[in-house]
Amino acid sequence: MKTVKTYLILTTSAAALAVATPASAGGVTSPVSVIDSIDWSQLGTEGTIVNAPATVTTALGNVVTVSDTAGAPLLRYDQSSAWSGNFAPGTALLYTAPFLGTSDITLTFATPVLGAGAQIQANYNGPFTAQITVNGTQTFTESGVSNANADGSAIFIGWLGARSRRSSSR
Amino acid sequence: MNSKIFGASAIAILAVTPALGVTTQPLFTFVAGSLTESNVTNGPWTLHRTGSHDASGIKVPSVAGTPYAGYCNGQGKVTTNQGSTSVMQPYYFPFVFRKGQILEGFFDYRPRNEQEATVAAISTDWGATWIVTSQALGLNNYCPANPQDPDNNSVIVNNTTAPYGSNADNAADNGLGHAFILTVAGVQRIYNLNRATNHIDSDQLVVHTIPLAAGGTFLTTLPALGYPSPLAPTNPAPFKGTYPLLDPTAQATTGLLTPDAILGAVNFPGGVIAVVYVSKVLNGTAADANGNYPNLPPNYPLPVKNCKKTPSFALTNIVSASAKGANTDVTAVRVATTTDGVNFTDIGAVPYAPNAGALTDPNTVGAAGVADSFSGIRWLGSGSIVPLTNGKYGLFFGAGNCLDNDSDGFHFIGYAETTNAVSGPSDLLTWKVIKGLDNPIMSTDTVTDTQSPYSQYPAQTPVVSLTGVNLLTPSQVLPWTPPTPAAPIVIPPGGYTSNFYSGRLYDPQAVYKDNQTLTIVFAGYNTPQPSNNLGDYRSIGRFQLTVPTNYFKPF
Repeated sequence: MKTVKTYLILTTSAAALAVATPASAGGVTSPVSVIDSIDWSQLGTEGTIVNAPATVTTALGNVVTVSDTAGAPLLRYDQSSAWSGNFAPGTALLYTAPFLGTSDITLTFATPVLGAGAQIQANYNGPFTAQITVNGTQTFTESGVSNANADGSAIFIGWLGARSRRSSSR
Repeated sequence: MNSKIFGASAIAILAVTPALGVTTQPLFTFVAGSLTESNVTNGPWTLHRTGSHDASGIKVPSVAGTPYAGYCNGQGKVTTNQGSTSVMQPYYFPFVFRKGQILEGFFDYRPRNEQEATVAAISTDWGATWIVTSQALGLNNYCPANPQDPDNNSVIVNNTTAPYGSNADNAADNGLGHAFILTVAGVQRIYNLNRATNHIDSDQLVVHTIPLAAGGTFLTTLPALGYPSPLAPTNPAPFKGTYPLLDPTAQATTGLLTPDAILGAVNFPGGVIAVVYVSKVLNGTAADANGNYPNLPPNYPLPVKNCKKTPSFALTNIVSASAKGANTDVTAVRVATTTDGVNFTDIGAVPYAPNAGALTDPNTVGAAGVADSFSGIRWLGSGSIVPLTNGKYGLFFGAGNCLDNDSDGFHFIGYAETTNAVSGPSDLLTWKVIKGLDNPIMSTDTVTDTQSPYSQYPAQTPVVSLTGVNLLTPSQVLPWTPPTPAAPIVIPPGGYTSNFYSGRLYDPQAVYKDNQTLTIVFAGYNTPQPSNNLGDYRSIGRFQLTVPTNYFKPF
């Protein structure tokens, strides 16, 4: 996999995560082993309107471009502050605000990664379907429930490539 | 000699001692530079859009200008402010609360004689700029037949000119206003005033349910139009409509008494929520044929006293210089409780002066040439409540009296506190006014009674006292020009109508910023009547107040 483009549809994602558990290529619903992560708070405090594309850096130094298909801005929220969802309290979030014209979040990694994913939640309370698209071709969907429990139960949706062990999983 | 020195010192100490434990600083001071007229991004059409249009116009002394400039495009479709940041007009009657570092606001969008809708928006800069998230419960999608007609007498319906403003039975801009959001027992609802003739201030509030959402309160699930038709049955065929029939999803509250606006809500144990609301009886002090007042609230102080026409000295910012007649509406601040958000039980009204605990004084009618004659509060019509750390509640309010002759109460922004700590709903029934008309937080243009004794209203400089606060340039509002009345009328500092709130100022929405700062979002008009300056009306603004540390409880 030369580059991995993670394409998240729905409204909100938490930190994007690189995962490193060997498996056949496909979607994953839990970050079995996290070796890297993105802290969205680097894009600003809650309420910051993030003009896309924006550049963030993972904990291990991988540079990631965050964008929206329409080129629209994103919005920073924090769980249990302005965001009343089911992430863990204090989690820094990135919101695909529909009123700003945002429809999705696309992550493009400067250094190829084996897999990536994120916790995700729809804005309205109730059931929803999340979808991740990799390199614009492969997709995986997952059902979730949005609520205001603030307990970290927001579903994880990700993609893991078919690559052995953890040697080059970033 | 030494003993005298010691004695003097002792006296000084005694003088200071009683003040210990009592704040010596002013309750409110203005945060310099915090007053701004708000801008809005996206959302519906605005009066002014850079590179597109400047709507403006006057009705007096003669009709001129284009008050609906740019409202529709060449294809006959209503335009929007999408992709633009414009002066936030024509919006008013905000309802604002804070979630984290983001403000959520609900506004009454109301182009004169054309539309009224509820618009939701967020602000990430404490109300200086609002980003519209959604719009609902409007009146129509019609285009004015003549954008230069300030009364919008006709609109285009199915490519044909139809009567609109010309028929008082049509909606014009009388839709669903005064939005308020409340969540009870896990159900979130929006409450609106039904402004239709024969319904306003007599019907219960209109209720719609809004799904709870993690990131904000959006109106996208509500009907775009609050009424199936804005056209009345009295219209000629084929323009007969069903106005004011409400959309079929609309519910109604029960138990509120002539409600006009909800000021705030307080949660109590047992799932009981108390709302503080404005009750308005239209023409309540107008006598019937027998000289009786059948609609007066039971606690109204008798004998009834009505205003005279607006005093001439107060006409400084009314372009027509035409005095308004006496307004006979009666307002009261009342309290009601609910456990389900729909059915309310009214528990009483805040007393009228001279009774203790009063907010308003219906006996204040004013008389020119009498000192402080117009200093009382006759009508209180809007505002918001805030919790104090000592258990009391504060009320930021908009109010007025016979200086304006309007029961909407838009002369100044004041402040009151409950007389007791609030442990039950009845504690919300008695208040003490701390900032009134003569020592306001903020005021419309100063007016001066030049008769002896000379009296200025307000008597004291407001906490927020600035001039020239207006984002619009004179050229943007042509053909309107400020009035230049002859002596003895006194021109206020900064000139007439130099602020976007010179003519009206109301509905302060207080938001806790930090333990020393409140943000106030409010509504203002450049002139008292939109028809005086159709290029500068229904504006949103914000300012901030420094308050004693930890005086207010986070909310």
